[in-house]
Amino acid sequence: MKYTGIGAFEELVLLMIGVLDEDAYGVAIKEEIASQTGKRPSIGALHSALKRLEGKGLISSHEGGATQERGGRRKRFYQLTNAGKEALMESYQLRNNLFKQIKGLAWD
Amino acid sequence: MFSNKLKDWHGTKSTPQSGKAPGWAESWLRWFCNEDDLEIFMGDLQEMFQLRMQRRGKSFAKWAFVYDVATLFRPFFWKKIQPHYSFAMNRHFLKASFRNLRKNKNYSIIHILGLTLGILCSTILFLKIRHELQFDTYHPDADRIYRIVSTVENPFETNYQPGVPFPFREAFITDFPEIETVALIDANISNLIRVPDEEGKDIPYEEDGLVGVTSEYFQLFSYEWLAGNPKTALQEPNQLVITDEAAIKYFGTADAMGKQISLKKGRYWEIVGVVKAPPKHTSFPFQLFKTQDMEDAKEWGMYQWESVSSSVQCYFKLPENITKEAIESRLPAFLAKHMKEDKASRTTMSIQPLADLHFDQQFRIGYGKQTISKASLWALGLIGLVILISACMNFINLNSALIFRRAKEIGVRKVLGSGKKDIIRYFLIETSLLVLISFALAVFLSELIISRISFLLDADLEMNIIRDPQLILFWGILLMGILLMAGLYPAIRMSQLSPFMALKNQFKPKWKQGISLRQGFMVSQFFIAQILIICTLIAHKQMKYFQEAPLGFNKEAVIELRVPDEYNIEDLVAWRSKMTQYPSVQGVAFSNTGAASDNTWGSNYNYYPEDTLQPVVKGNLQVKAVDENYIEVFGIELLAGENLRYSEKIDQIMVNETFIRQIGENDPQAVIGRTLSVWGQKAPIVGVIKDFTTESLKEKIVPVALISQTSANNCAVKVTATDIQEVIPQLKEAYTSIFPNGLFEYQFLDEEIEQFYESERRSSQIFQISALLAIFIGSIGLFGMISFLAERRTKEIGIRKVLGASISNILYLFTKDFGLQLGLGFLLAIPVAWYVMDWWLSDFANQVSISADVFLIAFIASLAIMMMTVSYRIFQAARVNPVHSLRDE
Repeated sequence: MKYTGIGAFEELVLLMIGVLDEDAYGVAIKEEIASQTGKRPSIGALHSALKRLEGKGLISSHEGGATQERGGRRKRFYQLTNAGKEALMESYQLRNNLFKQIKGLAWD
Repeated sequence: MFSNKLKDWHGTKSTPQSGKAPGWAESWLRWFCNEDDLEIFMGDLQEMFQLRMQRRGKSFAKWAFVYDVATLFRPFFWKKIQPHYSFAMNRHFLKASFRNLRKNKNYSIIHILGLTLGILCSTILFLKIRHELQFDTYHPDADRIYRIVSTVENPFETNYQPGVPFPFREAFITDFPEIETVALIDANISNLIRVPDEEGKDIPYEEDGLVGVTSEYFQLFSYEWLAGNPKTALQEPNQLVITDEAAIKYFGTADAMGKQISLKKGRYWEIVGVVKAPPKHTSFPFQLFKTQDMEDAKEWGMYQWESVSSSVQCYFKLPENITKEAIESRLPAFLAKHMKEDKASRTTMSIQPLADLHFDQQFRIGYGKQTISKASLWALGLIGLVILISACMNFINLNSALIFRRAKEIGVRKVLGSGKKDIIRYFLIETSLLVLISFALAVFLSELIISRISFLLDADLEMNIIRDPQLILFWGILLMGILLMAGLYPAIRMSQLSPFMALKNQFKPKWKQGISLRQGFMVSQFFIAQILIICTLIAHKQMKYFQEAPLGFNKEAVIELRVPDEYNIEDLVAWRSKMTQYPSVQGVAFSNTGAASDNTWGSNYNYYPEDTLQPVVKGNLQVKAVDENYIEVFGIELLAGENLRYSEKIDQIMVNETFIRQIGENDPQAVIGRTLSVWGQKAPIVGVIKDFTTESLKEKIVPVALISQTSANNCAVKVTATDIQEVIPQLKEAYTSIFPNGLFEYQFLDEEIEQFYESERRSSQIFQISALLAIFIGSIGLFGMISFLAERRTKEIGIRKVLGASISNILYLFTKDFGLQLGLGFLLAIPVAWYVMDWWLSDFANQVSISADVFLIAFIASLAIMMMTVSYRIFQAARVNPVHSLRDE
């Protein structure tokens, strides 16, 4: 594993990329975050996080899909790497584990 | 699928919107963003823009776009700064620059010539202006040192008096005890000193730097003391302080403590201190200080409040907590207490700060250097600035033109891999080379001529590069400025060149823009040159007037001799008869100040009209104490009445025309026999003389009284014009026979009068030189431009020749443009030159008129010079065989 840790926002972005599957690119991620969580991160913050995640080896990218709305410019699509998937799994398991240990919280 | 989702997001607005994303924000992004991400970001932003436009309208979308770009402005996304591994290129650039300069030798020379002159000029003027501004600033607490001055209202004019009466200081100290140090400077003393030599014999000298001061002088004004105690020097009578320069002159060594100098026959003063001579920028260039004493003043009855000499001045230091106004407000009461009522009421005393001394035009100072008005300094600075700008404009003009035509070379360089920064550095190096060479030359030349120029500028300038940080700073700024202006603009333009276009030879720099700027430059140069030419011509006219205008007395062939300080009447009589024995001597006259002089004595007068019922006319006039030969020796015309007869008291007076006009009479005869009182004495008017110039032609003529008391400070000898050189030794012989211990000194009257106009002559010379410089620099610039144009249009000229144009046709083609520019420059120059000259001439009571012929001459002269410059070059170009010029490259 290449990373030392990821922040909450980075994790959110990572999850979104997973959710959006093949359609995970800048604008789509931004819109999806907005519709699912109500947060509206700026495009700068978003791309920053994307770059960091890619730097940590958790996602990879490829370019393509130029459309007219974009003035003929390409998109950069992101997808989870194995390391990224692993990271998400670990995080999920850890949270779940700790969650179960809290008295009085419904967990089924 | 995603696309379905996207459709959900679109189209909440009723009507489809359209618009463009803000271009400037886009440019901004393009500017800072790195290549890899740029396209992606642009795409995202564009897509967001479209979305937002549909959802919330155009303006929201635009603002959000800008916001987005701002959020992307993070170092994370910035362009990587390319490490520039081209230090190795510098050597090549240097070599290439040298080659270039050598290749275009002519242009390089033109460049360097013009720039060197410009830098030279500005350096010298910088030194001069700084010198003047530095005057008297080196004394500690200089801002609290003041001088007493008085403004006296006389019935017909106002008198500005920098001096104080002898009793002033004592009274001032008594009545204003809170004022710390009060010093009196008394320069109204004879300059004759006698220094004993090794054998004890007294050698006479004229020491103009001799002055009497009270001991506080050295508390006010700082000197570097080589020997002696500044706190106690000159507290006792008969003491001296001497500068090292003077000591070396008289004793051969600066160690002069304890030595003696005689200031009066048989009495000796002792040297109690030696100081370093003051710096050149001081208003007090004294070399020898004696303890001020009131002996002479009391002996000659001048120790009174009614008598004031402008060379007796009072300086003091104001304590910190007291304001100028506090002192000034108590002065009127002080005056009323000590001065006679009628004079006190007309006198306003005020205190003048030390800083104003050197620039004051009203009170003047009289201790050495002439004052210079701030206005003159401004004018000088302006001239220097203008010449510098002229030279720089030329440089920029020509440099840009030369650089722009090297498009092909730049294309090749770019193809071979030079980046933008490299190209910029390349051109900067080349320009720097030129600038540095000019600079080095200018520095060298200024060292060379600084001492010669000092005379012209009336300032002892020294250039000491190593110890002068201000000068170095000045040069640094100058260098930077020229480099940036001349080198940066074309360098940047060229670096942006597309190699493709350049190599295809289709490079056209924004020629239109270049042209108007270029023309503007040319016009300004003509403008500047014309102004200076006109000013020079008018200044010359005025100088000629000063030299040739009739003065009302004869200044040719009159020699003025020094009268010894101690004499008695018999000596003078004997001396005169000795001199008149010589056939070449036609007359000898004794007076107090000669004919025209800068030493003027004044007096109040009371004129008693015939009709005793009419009031007594009071006023102020100038007094000359003369003898019976005076008007004959000077050739002054008598209009009515008769000449003075010999007398030793004030019992006869002659007046001039201006006087009788002032008292309201027109007929000279009418005043003959009337009583006039001068210097407190009443005497009858025996004659009326024609007006003559008693000061310089710069002042208007005032009422003058010639009175019969002979106090002889001046001896004027009229000689026949042919034997002037022979007569000098004869006069010397006569003098030494009567005054064996005296100092024989003589001066020709016309030379002495010339000295009055020294500063004007200097101004005139400065105008001349500036004009020449401006013309020269302008011509150089013109020549450069024309050479360049001619080269550029060689093909065109060739074609025209083939089509039948004659050489004069081609000449006309080129000169037409410049002729128009010259004309424009001239028209603009007229009002400016007129205004400047009007201002300069307004100082003089007798001014020449600013006439049209001066302007005409200036224009024609400029036209001629321009034609010559242009023709020479064009002629060369036009003579080229079209076969050569039309050859394909």
